[in-house]
Amino acid sequence: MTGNKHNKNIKNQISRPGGDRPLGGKVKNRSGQVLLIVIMLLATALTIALSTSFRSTTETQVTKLEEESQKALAAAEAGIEAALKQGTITNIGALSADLSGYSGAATCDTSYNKTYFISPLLQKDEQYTFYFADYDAGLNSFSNYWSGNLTVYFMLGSDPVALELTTIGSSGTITHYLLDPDNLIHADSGKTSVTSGNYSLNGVTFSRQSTPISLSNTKLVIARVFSSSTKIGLDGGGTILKSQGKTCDSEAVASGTNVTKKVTLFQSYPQIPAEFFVTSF
Amino acid sequence: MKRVQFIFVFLFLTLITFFLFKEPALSDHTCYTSCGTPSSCPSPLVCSSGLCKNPSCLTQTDCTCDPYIIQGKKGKNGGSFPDSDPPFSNQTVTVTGQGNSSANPYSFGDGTTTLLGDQNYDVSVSAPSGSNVGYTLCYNKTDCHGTPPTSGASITTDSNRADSENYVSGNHYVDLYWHFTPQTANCKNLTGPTTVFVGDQVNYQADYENENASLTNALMYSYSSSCPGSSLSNVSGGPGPGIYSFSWTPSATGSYTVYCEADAASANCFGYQTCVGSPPNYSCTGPTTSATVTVSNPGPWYKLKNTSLYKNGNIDINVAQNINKFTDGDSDDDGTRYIIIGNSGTATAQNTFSPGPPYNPISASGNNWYNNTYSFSQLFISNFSSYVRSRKQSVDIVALGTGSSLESSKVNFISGDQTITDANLTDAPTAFVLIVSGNVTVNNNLNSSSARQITIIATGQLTFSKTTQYANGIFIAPSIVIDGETPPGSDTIGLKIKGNLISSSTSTSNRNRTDNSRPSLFVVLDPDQYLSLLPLLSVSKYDWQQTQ
Repeated sequence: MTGNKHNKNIKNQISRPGGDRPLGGKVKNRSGQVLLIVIMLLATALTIALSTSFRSTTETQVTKLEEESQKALAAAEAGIEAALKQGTITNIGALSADLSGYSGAATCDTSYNKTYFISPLLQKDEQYTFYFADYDAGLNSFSNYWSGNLTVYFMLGSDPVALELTTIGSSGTITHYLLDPDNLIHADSGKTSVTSGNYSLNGVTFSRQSTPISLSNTKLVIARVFSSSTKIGLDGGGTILKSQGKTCDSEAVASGTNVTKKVTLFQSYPQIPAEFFVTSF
Repeated sequence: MKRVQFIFVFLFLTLITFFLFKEPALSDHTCYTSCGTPSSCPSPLVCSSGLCKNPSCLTQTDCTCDPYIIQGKKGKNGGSFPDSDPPFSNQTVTVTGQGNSSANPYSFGDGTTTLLGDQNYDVSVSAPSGSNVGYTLCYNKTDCHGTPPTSGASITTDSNRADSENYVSGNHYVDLYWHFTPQTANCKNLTGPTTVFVGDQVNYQADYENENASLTNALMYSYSSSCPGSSLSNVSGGPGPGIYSFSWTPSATGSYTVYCEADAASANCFGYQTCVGSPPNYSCTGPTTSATVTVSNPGPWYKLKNTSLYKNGNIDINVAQNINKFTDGDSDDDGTRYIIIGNSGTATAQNTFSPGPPYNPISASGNNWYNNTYSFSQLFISNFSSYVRSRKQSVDIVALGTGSSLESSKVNFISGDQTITDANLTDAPTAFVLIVSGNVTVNNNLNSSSARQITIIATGQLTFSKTTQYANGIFIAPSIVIDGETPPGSDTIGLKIKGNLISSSTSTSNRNRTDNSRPSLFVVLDPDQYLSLLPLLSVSKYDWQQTQ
């Protein structure tokens, strides 16, 4: 409103050219304009200052949360690491002084009650050692050998893959299977029958499925990958498979902020590298 | 008186008649003079085309026939002329009254003798037993011999044709080729291996056919130093024309010629010139009637059991047909002839998979799983030491042997080149992994009773001495050498490894047994060696997930 009046006054002055005006009235009008401009500048500056201050505060809070989050994740990972060595960690905060501001626990478990297992992604020429007996890592001993019909899934997408399976029985008997539907390897006979299609196993879609392989009192199945990378899925045909390693869960909670992080790690049982298993000279 | 007058008149008339009808001589220039019909030409001229001519050379205006030459060549019908090889090249050509010649080419009337131009000559040729002969004949040209020969061993020349037929200038001649046809069957297309191991049974085959006579018998020989050589055994084919197969088991090294023989009623053909001999034996027409065969002793080879193989370089061993076990009493070797016996995996060659010998290549395995031109990354072999240092428990030891501090629960490291013997293991635990920063020599037998589960990894070269016959454990190195005796081929023992043998480059094997029916290297995969050392000779795989 004030502005409008002021503008009107200016307009009035302009609309009367050559009209006389008292000198004291002009000075009054000018000082009002300056004041108005100063007020506007102050308002603008105040707005900027308040805005910057608010953002700074928010960013500080976010950064603090991220930092807490990362620290919590690190704490959870520390819990995993400790659990891998010690088994169970009831209080992550007690692991070290640095973690004193965190609570939470970490546990590792080798039990397994599923009829399937899916390996990590294996690169060409890698091999994976599947355990078909209860393995005591501490004693390096096997017991309770697996028997059943094993279906093998492999090949993700369209890149052809061949698998060579080496089974080691309870008495050390070795048997080889060749799963090579795309004829990457010459064979006069003895290939395991494999079908093509889209086969889903626990959310992973494979392109190849073997016919069930009958295993009896088996200790290990070592799968070697030819030509392309793949995951390998095993289905025990209703029979629960053996544990393939240690699964550790860790949760760390930052006291004060209650930032929580959970981490799961699967550590396989010892894997014999293909380079150390295939006779080569 | 009247009677006397009559006699005188008669005698006078007779005399007149004699002079009137007296035969003129050739030099009487009556040649090429006109003659009527019937001929009024003085003998031996004849009236031809209204002129008196010499019947032996009708075109000669002076009635004098030019001498001519009888020339020619001898050879096998369908072969090259002149044939340089007996028996056809040296058959005798006879010209009646002019002698004979066994030269090839031959010639009569070319200077040493003269063949009269007004005479025909009988020409004949001898023929070896078991052969027929024919001829091709042309006058004053030489290009008529591609036509089928006329059967016969003799001809009579025609002086008139010699005088004029095809004649242009120069000497007159008769060109006469004699074509001999042996009355043989034929064998051809002999095939079979050209390199053979002593003691291997190999097969050769050839195509036997009726040619100029019907086949009565098909044979094959291996020639070494005396003809006909050793007869091969007919294993298939016959009776009558067809492909016959023969088997041969050479018993001594050397160079041999394997050749075929096809018999007929009156003549036989041999596929190897050296053994043809004399008629009625002849060379076979062929083609490909013999093969040069090198017989040698087999070389060293390797055999694996229960494992898969990645061969750096090529899989190109040549293995004798009849093999024997590593040793007669070896319980792991079942004596079967495969690269991988037992329950076998895949044999993969970095380059080519081409096992031999070509006539009976050894198979990869019972199922014959193999792959070639396949690159298998083996980087981990050289990186394992670093991996162990960072991820596993390890210990550095200073020496092997008595009092050594080898540990079974840790990976043992030792620096410097090492010679490892059974004596070094006296104080060693029953299972251990040893990484040697340097070269390793395994001397004499090592852990031959498999009392220990051991893995020896060398960062340098791993050598098995020539006295090492048994080494049980897992042996890993970037390069591996298997020593042998000098000279090569004098090793009395092979090398057997029960465990595994792993090298990231092509190994060098100088082990070459005197008895190469047995493998020089025998690797048996022993899973116990791995299982006992599983925590040490392994890696872990991880799968990490953040769930919150």
